[in-house]
Amino acid sequence: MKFINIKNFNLLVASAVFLIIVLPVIMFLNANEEFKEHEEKIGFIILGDITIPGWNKSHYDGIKSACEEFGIKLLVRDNVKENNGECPAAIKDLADSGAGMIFLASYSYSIEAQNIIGEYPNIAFATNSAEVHAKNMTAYFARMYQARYLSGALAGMKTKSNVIGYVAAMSNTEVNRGINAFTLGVQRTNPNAKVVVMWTGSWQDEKVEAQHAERLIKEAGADVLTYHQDEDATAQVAEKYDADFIAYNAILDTKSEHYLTSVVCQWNLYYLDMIQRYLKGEINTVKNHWLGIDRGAIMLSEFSPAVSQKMIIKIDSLKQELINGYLIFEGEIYDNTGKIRCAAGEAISDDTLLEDINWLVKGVEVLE
Amino acid sequence: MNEDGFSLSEKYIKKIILQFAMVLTILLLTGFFMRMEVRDLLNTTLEKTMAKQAADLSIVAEERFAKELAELQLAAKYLELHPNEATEKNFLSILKGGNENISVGMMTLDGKAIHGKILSKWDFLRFSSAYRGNEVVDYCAGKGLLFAVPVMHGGNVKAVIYRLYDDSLLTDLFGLAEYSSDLRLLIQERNGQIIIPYKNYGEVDKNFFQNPTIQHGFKIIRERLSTHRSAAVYRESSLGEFFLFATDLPQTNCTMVGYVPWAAVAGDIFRIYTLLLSGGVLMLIVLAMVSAYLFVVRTKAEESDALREAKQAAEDANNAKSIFLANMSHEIRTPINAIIGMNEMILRESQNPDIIDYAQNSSAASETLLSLINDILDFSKIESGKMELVVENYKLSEVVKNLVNMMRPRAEKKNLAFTVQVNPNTENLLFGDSVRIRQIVINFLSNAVKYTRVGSVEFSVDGEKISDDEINLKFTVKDTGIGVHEEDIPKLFNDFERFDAKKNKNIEGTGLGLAITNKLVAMMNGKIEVQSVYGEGSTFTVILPQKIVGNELIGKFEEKPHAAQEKYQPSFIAPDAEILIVDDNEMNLLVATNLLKATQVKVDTALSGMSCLKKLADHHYDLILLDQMMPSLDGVQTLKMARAMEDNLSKDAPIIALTANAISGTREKLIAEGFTDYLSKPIDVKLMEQMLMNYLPAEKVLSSTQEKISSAEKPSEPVGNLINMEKGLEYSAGMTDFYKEFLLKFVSLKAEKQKKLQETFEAGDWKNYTICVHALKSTSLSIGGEKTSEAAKELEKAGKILMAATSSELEKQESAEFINKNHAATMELYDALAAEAEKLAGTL
Repeated sequence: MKFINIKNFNLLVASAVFLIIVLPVIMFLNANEEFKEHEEKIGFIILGDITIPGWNKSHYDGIKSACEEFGIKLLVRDNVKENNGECPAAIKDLADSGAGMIFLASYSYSIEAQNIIGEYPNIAFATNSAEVHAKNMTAYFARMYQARYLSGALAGMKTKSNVIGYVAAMSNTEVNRGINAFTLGVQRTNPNAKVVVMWTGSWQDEKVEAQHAERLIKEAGADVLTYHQDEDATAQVAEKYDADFIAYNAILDTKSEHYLTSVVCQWNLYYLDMIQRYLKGEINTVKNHWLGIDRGAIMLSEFSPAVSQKMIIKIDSLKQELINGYLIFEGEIYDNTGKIRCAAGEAISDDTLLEDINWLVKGVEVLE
Repeated sequence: MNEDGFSLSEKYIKKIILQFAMVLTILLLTGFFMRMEVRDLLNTTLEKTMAKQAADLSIVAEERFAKELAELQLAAKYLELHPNEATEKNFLSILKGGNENISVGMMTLDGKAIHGKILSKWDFLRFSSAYRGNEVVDYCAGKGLLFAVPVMHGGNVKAVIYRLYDDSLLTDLFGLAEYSSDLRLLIQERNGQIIIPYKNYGEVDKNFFQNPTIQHGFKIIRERLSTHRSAAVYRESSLGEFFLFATDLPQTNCTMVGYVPWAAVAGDIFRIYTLLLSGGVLMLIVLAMVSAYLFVVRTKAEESDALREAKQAAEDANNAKSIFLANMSHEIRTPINAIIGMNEMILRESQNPDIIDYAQNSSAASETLLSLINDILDFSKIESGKMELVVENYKLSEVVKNLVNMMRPRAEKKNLAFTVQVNPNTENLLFGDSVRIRQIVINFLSNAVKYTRVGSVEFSVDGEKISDDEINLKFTVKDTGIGVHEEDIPKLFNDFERFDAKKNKNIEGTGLGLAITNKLVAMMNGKIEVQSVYGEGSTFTVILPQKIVGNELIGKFEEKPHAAQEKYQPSFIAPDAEILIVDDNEMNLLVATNLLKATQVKVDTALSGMSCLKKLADHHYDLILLDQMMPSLDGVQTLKMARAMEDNLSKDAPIIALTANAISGTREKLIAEGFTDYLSKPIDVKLMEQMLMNYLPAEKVLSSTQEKISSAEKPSEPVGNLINMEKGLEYSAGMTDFYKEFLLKFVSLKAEKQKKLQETFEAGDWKNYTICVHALKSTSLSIGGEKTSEAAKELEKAGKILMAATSSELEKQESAEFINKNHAATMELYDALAAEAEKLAGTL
């Protein structure tokens, strides 16, 4: 072997040197993988079943498509009831699973979770409620009231009895803002019409919703109904009594002429925007984030054949006003107790609209 | 193998260089690969760092904007609390700061300006957001950078105040260029419109941003910005190497964009890498050199290993050859001994002078052959380191006598004068290896005789006392031979060296003699001196230190009269003794048996240890000669079994070993084994007789002269003076029965031979007469009839002269007369001799 292997020996040495030099480099590069950005995960907590159309499904579909757009993993916790400790548990669970951002997609979650949000300073929280603030939480919402305004204009044009029924969950800033925008829309096309509101006291209670809808038609004489609930019991009642109705947050699966339109939000656009801001590190640079009709996030769905071309043109022109900067809550506005809420030449600021609408505009009646 | 290695060394070096080149190439490739990797890695890391840095810079930019907004905010707050037109005006003029390029104003919801100029909401798309109660930073190309905040009234927006900076001011106020001299920073709208360029922004910079590579880089950055706060990329463009980076400014529609030359960011870091690289390269070179060195060392070590192995192999081969030679020589000696023994028998027993002559020649040739073989054997022994001196007490006089007796005939045969001078004051009783000393001196003497054609050989012995018990024994051999060239003297003692090969081709010898001599002398711590003149002669002097063991001087050296044809006489006879000789070689047995014939000892033989044991059980022997080396049962085993054997009839008989291994210590060893004594082979007749005399039972040993006297006394009376019986017996090897036979034959043949003599004499047939006379001369002499033989010799001489062609007439006549005159007298002598012989034969 003495003589034969000299050549092999040198080659061996060369290969050894090559390996000795190259391997650490490769290992170093591999080790570098650890420094690469960790996989982003988005947590999503919602009240109802994500398969049921309405609030739950529309939000889920929106965030799912947004996450797919960015290639981010979505962690969903649905059927998380409010005010019984399920939400904080879900937050903890998602935090442990590595979620970098958690959406609290029900109004009361932020109130319930406000004490533990501070325990996760590295997680960005997003809520659709503007009532609780935290350093690492952003209130997000769409200017649904813009679409409410347009639907109100349609209802004002459609009503014959000049009574429009409104089944609403409860009196809070969000619901009140919707009722007020809707009423302002009604008054824009039909100054004689009034809006009758009935409170159900719950986001999801079909029975009560149905009862209220029935009373609004029978007792109050409403011939157009709308609602602010997570599901569409009101629409079914209206259909039953041949009343027109405007759905909320869902495009219903019905061909009925009474189904005038739906107030809908393009939640996917919305979530895209939010997640992008999160990824860019901008999520907490603003207190509130409010996406409007100018970005195409809010709209009315396809109109019923019962909606005339004239009505559609009217609504389009109103929509254009909004896009051009018409604020709805500007100029002289009185509440239904006669108190002035906005003077001429003034506009209600976004902050107030998000946090502090505890009144109903003139022209709204509440049916107990 | 080694020679191949050396002769291939050039090719070898080429191969090594090639291999090193390969290794170097691989290393270079590795280095290149590493450099790329490190650079990529470095740039990737730097891209991240740059992105972070950009994000940090964006905060600086934002802070500037925030500061601007805070100022307006403060004003708005004041105006909310002090809704007074005069105050508003004052405030706004303070905000304007008297700068022509700054516009300030206050606008209401309906798009009218309370103060300052009206801003179009189509120029500043974000401006309406201020009416919703938000702060606004917006830019419109040609109009400038707008900051706007709402003036509140409770939760409602009452109006909006703004400050608008003209484009010309922007770089001074918001430019970030001063942060680093290498860094170029600008702020642009997200649609790419540059809002705040850096100072001295010009054509070159435009070209930079329009460079396709750079634009591609920014495209990548924009893609990254969709999901990242900031981004940076490394680009190699025709303009150079750059890091490009950008970060969006939240709350505005602006992006901060910048670039920095690669060297400004990575240069220092990369220098560390370069430093490490050069260190690594240096280490690699050292490594390469060390491995090259190790390689050479290893190769050399391999070569020297191979050399050593080859040398060892050669030495082993040489040793094997020496051992082979020794064994061969030994083997050859056995048959030669047989020849010599047989010759000896012929010489002893033959009566025919011709045959005796042949046997003598044969014997001489055998002796020569034996001496050659002995030379080789000695040389082999010396070579293989087995040569040992056998030291014992000896008499110097004996050695010298022996030497002279041996050499004189040879010298005389060549008609050389041989003179011997011995210093009588030399110590005589010495201790040393006399056999080897004799060998040494014989060598010089025989060389002297061999190489001298005419002249003399002088042999002198002297001793020089060096201490009380030691002398330097000095032998000097001087000849008048061919001599040696001076330059050849040192080569004299080389192995196989012979000079003047052509000239000396007739001189026999192996060429080993002097080499052996030299070594023997060295073994004895002696020395050899040589003086020589080429063509005139040489003087060899050997000086050997010897121990003195007695107090005796050598005295006057007396040369024993030389008897050339001395007939053998046994030193004893023992007709009643019976001995057994055991040897596996039949020839040896025959020789030994015949050599002992004269002693009349009864000899029995056995060819093996087994048959020896059988014979011992059957018969009683007085002495046993047992060969030491035999197949199956060797001497020692046979001895032990014989001693242990119960029915051994010769239990007390001395057992003498026969051995060829006559080295020092053999005797002690054999005696320790149980042998009584040992005899070395080839058997020396004298030594053997001596041994038998010593060990045979004393009553069975008779002296030979004793017997001779007893037998000679009786016939001495009738015998006349014509027969010298002693002489006659000599011709019959001392055996009286032979002699008697000869005598009787002489008598019986006499009548016939005498008749033929008479007839040829009378017929004058000188030719046949001479032949007959010659026969008479020989036969007479062989029975000791010296007088008759002498007379016949005279007649033969005359007859030869008569017959010779060269003889003159006078000589012929004289010879004829001589024959005529003496023939009758000779015939009378013949008659008388025959009568006496008949008488003598009767007495024997």
